Amino acid sequence: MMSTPSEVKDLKLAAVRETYSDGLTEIVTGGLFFIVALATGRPAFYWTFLFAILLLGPGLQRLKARYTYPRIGYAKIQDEDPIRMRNGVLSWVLGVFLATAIILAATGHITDNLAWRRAAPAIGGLLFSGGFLYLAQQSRLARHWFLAAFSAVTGILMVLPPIPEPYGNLRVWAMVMALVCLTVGAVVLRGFVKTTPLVDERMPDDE
Amino acid sequence: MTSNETPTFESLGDIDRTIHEPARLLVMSHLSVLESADFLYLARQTGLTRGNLSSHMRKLEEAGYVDVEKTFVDRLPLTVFRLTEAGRKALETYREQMTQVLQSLG
Repeated sequence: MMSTPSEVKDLKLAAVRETYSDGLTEIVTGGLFFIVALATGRPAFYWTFLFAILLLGPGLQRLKARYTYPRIGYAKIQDEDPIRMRNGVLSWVLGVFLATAIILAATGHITDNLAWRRAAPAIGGLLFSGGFLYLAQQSRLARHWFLAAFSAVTGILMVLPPIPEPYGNLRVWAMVMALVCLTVGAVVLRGFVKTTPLVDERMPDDE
Repeated sequence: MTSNETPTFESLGDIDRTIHEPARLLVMSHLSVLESADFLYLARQTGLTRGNLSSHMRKLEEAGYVDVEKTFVDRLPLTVFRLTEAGRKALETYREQMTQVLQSLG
């Protein structure tokens, strides 16, 4: 099999970077964190998974159709191998829970319900860090590496302060993540709109 | 010229001229790393003018290397291009042929 020339790899990297050049992924993710923060500790929390699918799927697509494609065009990156993707996600999730269980077992709190609740921000931080790491590996954008590190570090640190309310730490962490993601996304979107004008012309076949 | 090199240079005559044209090679290379892309994206990435790109896309479509699909994204009409299986194969063959030729040049 022939090796892939670096130029072809560069084309793929450029396409991925174009996809994320609008900052909308960070804004939508910020919105998702905001919903997580509001729903934490409430029965509505379980619906956040549905919100995640809707926001990161059709919601993001709709925003891109309105603001991104008329400026830089539409490109769909080739999907990852679904089996490899599934295995990667499952391994990461299992790894995070296993690491938490080992730490709690080592400190003698593995059966302590409250200890698991207190660990929730660290679990959330590491889980989302995996998502941002995936983005960063694809795009090699500094802001994605930053968000991966920020998510993990703040999640772990948020275990420390004593907040009496159950899951209070998780709520604060999700709110911090929401603010950071929304801010990063807004700054990128502002630059994107400023530097990338709307293209009015349609291709001849569309007319 | 040695007898070993002759077949490689002779294979230059078999080079697919549809792909060999620089603008079409550029378009096909971009499409090869994507599932699909619209006209605007390809025009921006390749730096080709609309008329130029339009004519190259027509040639690639006629050769069966590119599929054109009219679709809607959030109710907006979108014309997207994707590389066909024949197009991917032709690009791979072209790369192999050109690599051999260039290697034989030293």
